Amino acid sequence: MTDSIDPLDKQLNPRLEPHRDLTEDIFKRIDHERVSRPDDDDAIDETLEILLRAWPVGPRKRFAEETLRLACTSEPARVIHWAGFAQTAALLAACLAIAFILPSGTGPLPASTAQMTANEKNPIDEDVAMLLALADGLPQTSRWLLEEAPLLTLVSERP
Amino acid sequence: MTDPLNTLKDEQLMLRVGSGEEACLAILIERWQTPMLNFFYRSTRDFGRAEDLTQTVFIRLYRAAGRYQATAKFSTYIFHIARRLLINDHEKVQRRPADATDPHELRAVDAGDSERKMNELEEIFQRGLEELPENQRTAILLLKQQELSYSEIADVMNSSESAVKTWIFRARQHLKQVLKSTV
Repeated sequence: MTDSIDPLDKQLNPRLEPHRDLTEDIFKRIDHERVSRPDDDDAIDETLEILLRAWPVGPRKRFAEETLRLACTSEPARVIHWAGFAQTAALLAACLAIAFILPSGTGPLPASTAQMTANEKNPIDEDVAMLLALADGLPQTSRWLLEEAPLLTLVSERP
Repeated sequence: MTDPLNTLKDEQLMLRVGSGEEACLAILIERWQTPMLNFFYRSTRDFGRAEDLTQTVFIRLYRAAGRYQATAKFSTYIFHIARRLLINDHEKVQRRPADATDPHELRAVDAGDSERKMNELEEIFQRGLEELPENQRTAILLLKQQELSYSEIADVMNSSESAVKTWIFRARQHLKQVLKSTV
């Protein structure tokens, strides 16, 4: 089968033949004598066109193979995406829990936990228990938040 | 015999990558590695960086494949990723000390007269490109080197066609001036 693509077109449109080493051939088309005359505007235009269209580098051998391996061993984003979504949802749930469960039936929180006696029935205990139970079902990040939240730390350290 | 996957368009291949067909990614890499490499090489004048950036583009493609929707041409999509990477990379490089390697060292020392002239011209042109603002350089490379249309370039660069035309006009004027004054 004869090649119907004009060789010059190949040089100017490397997508027709993407694996060739193109630099040497295409640059031979530049008329160095003409381009060295600054008043020859057409020569400058032609040269610029050739330089802009040139693809001066080609991939190394096995570059595609390496790239494929790198890409396919990277963690797919959809996993990260859903994990991120789950974490956000869990975080929201934790915030809602803090906002709604803690204040229920407790009234204003005591100014100091030291004011409470050991025998005093404390409704916060139940809330903390509920929160901790809830935390068991949450991902690690949200559990960490619950455990590390200053308010809860204060409550849980109460004698 | 031709692999039937090779007959698929880039958009179709990308959708298949999203459903886990790694062979389709291999074809996309084969098709796009040279355009990407040359785009990054002209933009950075550093073959190593161009390779790294090219590989990162394909890693991003693979990671994003699950969410990919063929709403635009694949070329627009891939160059959008490429440009964002390039801008991030440029910011990182500006924070690092400059590479002291003389580009002439990368070429043959005993080059003949015509090769020497060619190397000089290439060097002047590449410096001219480097002096351009990123948007002008990217726009003119996408038009000439990658043969994207004005509207595709506008999509890639999140800009208007008229802005793209202005950038290309200015880039061309600057490069012509550089060639005129130094050749």
